[in-house]
Amino acid sequence: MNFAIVVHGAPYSSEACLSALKFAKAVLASGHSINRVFFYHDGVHTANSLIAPPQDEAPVSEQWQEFGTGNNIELIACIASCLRRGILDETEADRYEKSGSNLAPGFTISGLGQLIDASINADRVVTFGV
Amino acid sequence: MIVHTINKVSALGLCNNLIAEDDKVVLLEDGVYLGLQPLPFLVFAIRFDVDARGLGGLLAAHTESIDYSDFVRLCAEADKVCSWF
Repeated sequence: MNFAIVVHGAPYSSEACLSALKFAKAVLASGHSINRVFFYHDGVHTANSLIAPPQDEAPVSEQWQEFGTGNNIELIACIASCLRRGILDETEADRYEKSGSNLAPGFTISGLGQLIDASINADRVVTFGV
Repeated sequence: MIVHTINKVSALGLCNNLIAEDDKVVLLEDGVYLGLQPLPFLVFAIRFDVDARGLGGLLAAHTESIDYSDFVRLCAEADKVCSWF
């Protein structure tokens, strides 16, 4: 069975991205697949490569990166949510003439169409809200 | 059958009247506090979140504590998953 996962909450202000990661790992461990993980609203903060948590805390952003790249699963951050919150890849940083980009490796900035596409093609959509 | 997920106590008010008799409710995050009282649904609570809040052993008799693989199985068995937050 194919799952799409949607994450609405930011690390440290919501448990959504941590719960979603545990769920995503369990989906794969159960023999199912994930077609895409879509980070929406404050969830896009997960894609910020500049997050620097204390060493004794689980780095949830890095864990998502490892999960995405290790399992070849698309991690999409909503472009409208990203721009408003200062999550930029190099292209967007150039376009808006900002001083730098901060999109974490393994994440891709893209549009809401990716959520619609994931929802249409998945057998189940599971959303983790704030 | 729909699986409803509830991640905070206040979210129950949003879906209370929309949960059918054969639906299932999965409590996660702060939503597990709802598992302390008897609810008129089939209720499951994520064990990790129950234990994180020191609520192990305090759940209502018919609140079943589950892990994430059980959560995935419930989602797969359902027709759809509806998240309330």
